[in-house]
Amino acid sequence: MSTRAYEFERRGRRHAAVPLLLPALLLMIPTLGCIDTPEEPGWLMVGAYDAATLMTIGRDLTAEESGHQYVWTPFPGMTKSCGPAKAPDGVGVYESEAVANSLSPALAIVLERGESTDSEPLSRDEVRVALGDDQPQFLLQPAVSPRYITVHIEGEGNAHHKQLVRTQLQMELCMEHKTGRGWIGGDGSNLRQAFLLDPPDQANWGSDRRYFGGQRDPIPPLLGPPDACLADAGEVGLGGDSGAGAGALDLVPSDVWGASLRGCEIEEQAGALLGRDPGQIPLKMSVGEDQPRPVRPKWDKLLVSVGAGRTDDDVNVDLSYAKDGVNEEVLLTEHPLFDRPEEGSGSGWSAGAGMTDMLARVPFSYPMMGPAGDTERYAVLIIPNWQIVEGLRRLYGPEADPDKPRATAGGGVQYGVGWVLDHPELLFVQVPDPNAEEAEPEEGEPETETWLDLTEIMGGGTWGLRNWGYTVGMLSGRKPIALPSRDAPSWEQASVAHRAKHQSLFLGCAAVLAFLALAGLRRLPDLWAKIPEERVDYWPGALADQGDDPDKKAGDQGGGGDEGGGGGGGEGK
Amino acid sequence: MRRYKNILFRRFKDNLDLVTVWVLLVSIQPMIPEDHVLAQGDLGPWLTLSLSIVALLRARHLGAGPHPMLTKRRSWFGWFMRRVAVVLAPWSVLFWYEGANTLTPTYLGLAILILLASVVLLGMGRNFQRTGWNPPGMRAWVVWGLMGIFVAFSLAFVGALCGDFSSPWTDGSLIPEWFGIAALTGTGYLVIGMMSGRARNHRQRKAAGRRDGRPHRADVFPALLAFAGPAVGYALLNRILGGTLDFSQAYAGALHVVVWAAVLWPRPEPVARACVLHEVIPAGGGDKEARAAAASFERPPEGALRFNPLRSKRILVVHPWMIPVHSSRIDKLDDPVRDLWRKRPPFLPHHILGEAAFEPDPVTRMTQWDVIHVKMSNRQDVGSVNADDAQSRRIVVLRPFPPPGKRRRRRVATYRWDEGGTMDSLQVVDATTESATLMDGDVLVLSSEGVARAFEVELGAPLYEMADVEAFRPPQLEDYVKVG
Repeated sequence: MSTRAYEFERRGRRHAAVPLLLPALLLMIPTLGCIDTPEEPGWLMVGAYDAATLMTIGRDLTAEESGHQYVWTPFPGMTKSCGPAKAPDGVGVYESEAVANSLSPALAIVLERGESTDSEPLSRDEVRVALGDDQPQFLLQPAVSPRYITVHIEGEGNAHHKQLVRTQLQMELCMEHKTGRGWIGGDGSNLRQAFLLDPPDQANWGSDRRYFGGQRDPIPPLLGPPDACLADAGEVGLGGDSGAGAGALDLVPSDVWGASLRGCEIEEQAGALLGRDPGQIPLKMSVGEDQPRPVRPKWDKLLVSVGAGRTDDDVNVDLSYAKDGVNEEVLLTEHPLFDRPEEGSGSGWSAGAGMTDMLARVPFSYPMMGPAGDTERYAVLIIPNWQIVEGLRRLYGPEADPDKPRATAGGGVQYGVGWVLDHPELLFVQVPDPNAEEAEPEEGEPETETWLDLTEIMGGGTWGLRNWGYTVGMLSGRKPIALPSRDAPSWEQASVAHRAKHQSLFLGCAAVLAFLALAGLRRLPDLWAKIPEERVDYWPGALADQGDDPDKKAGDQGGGGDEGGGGGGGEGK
Repeated sequence: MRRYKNILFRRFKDNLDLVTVWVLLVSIQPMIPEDHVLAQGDLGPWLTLSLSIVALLRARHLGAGPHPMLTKRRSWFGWFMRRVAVVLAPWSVLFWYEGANTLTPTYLGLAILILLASVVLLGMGRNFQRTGWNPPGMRAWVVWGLMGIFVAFSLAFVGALCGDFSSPWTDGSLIPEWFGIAALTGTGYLVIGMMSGRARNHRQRKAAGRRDGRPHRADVFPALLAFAGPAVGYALLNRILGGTLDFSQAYAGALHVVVWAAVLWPRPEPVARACVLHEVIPAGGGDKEARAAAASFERPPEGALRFNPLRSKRILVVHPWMIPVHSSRIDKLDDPVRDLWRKRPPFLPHHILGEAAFEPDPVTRMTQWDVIHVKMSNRQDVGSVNADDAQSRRIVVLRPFPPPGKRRRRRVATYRWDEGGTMDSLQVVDATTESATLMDGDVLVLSSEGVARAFEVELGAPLYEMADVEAFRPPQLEDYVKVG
């Protein structure tokens, strides 16, 4: 080893470390900038993708043919008491079936629970998904887990009022069973839409883009068939095995009016395990070998306590709901059974005169997933394509009214899921701000101020760089995804969902471009640099081969060559 | 500020290979499947892969190396074998750690297998940079054997402590996982550095002693820095990122490895650089023929040939030249080992214009080997008149494109029809000129009485060994004259 090499080694370790720290810091700053540090909203968005498209990647057709397709199988007890379940007109499959079998695009959003969030399932009230410009304008309704309800109707009220309560509950519960959609409340029009009681628009029957009635205001589809029974019927009585709607493929009036609930069997008690496979769509998460064991759901308890009263106006009800039979939640206390119409009241479950809608107050929750030992770490929101298309057309159609349903097919976006993924600024996934209670809300502050938007991670960033790589940012780019499939999502599917290849190519190409730009900028002054020239009269030496030289003529003219050994041109004085 | 900017660019340029490695690692990170071994959450395999790649490019010994007066053997095969050995070594370290951490016999078996393979490869590459003098002392196999056992058991011990110790008395591991990975990283650098050295080198220096008569003392700082630097750095990085460093932040781990490779294994500097001059003649650029009547003074002269350095043709290679790379350091202080025999006098890098050398950059004070500094020795005026004759001489250095990153000062033109240009693009050597700079592609134009010759400078490959420089043979007369 030479002394110089040794010397360098000594000098290198003394002096190289300090200047190298600077580039290291400079390199770390942009990478640290990619780390997304939201304001601890309790939930983080870690995935947004089209579930239907992903399921076509690496699909094994032979496995499909051998029965891997999902089939909606209603509970026999519900079929017996409520009548047969009926898929939407003209389709033949339920919305969840369409999603699970890749018959329709579906936007899947995966939320990860923060460290500080309690481990309760994510309910509909705790998150809202919407479309809009700068603010949520059109609420979407992700698919919800089905409920398995034991209905208890108690209280000192008279049998007549209890039977009214029973009739209301069994009609709505049976319609959920028949249509595969969850009832979240609303006025009569909403009710008819939700339960597909309105046919497609007659005026545009031939060209109606809606492949089944009810695709107007979003309604959450159920991820599996629901079940319900009436406990302690007593004086309330049971409906008969009516076979409601059994004689028709489409929904008919007897589907509604003939609906009834069966009495609960001994084993069908709140908190008890469901008697059979619930038949929900098979959601699986890409958590490797940490797949949790399937857990059979439990019966919930819906308790309605009807109070006594001399007149209908005096009758009050108490309503409580215990998910899985535990942690009873009081939903109504001393609430009039019959609402009075209010002056200028808007939409909602108290909009007009009539019975209080009790089932609409029973919460739905979104499916929770995770690795074994932490099975409620992620919440999966699945939104059918038609909801997004409807929202986009309302927002950006000719009339541009978010509240007015589109009547005709029209043109424009058909693949709403892809459109939203390409324009994440239109999507809002909001959760309540956990700090909102501590902060003093200002007078007249709109409600939206207290909701944190989780989709900011999908777009923007410095110079919009995040749009080029991972869908949900670098730190969430390797989080698991969930698909409605019997097999856990493969890495190929997960990498496509997160746009891993885009991220990889973007990083590589950005680095090369940055290097070229840096080198080019440093050499930019050369473009207008003055090339120095020297003037002399005579160049001795060999004759220059001017061949194809463009300046040959000029050289010949100037050179003259009257000097014997003249080179590339010389001129005697 | 300008100095730091230049240092930054210089460091970037010197470590472009490492920057490229980091960009490649960051680019492939998203494509690694979640269940792949490289995607392990503690980043152990990923850091090991990064270390292996940078070791392939940069691995160097940590010690002082052989005695500087000894000639090292060259062997391409030996170089390759030793490179493969140092690339494999971090994996052996990793598997010792993982085997004890997870109590997996397969990993321990792999660790032993890779260790044996590395030993065999080192043996096959033993001729690379081997020197002739073999003073008595502790044998190499004893040194390497003890070191291998120490490293293996140390890593296994740390790995075991980081393992799952769940019991009624303990809750999980005894020491945090990041501590084990930090130790793993530091040990990787240390092992690669030690494997790149030789026990014989230490014996040589010990036998030679120092110039001042004192015994040789091994410098432990490089080994200490190689272990503690990356280890402590990783621990700090982990804490800065909130203690949640996992494969999502693998880019930060790779950056850590790359930066420490640049610190511990900097790019070597050459001791000299070869240079030749090409005699060139203009290719085009002639003005139109002069008119019969003389033009006025404010108009450009006609009939003179304009020589454009971008439009020239090489016709002859002349003046092969070896130019030393000077440094601001003093060799004898940096490496005070006693000479084994009297040194040959240093070669004379003299040029017809004066003494030439690659002097340290005046701004960054860093060693450079791109700009030749020529100290003019025979300064004469541009014109001389004596009793019998009158001569006019002119020497200029034309530089088509001055180096980037330097302020381009405009040159004051003598005549109004001069196109000007920048100070760096045209250097006029006259009696007042003390030094000139030459770069690759510069053209020296020497003209006297209207007759000119031009020479283009071409810099050759840098030489890193003084033995190569001393083997350089300047052209002799017999190279040009046919004898007999």
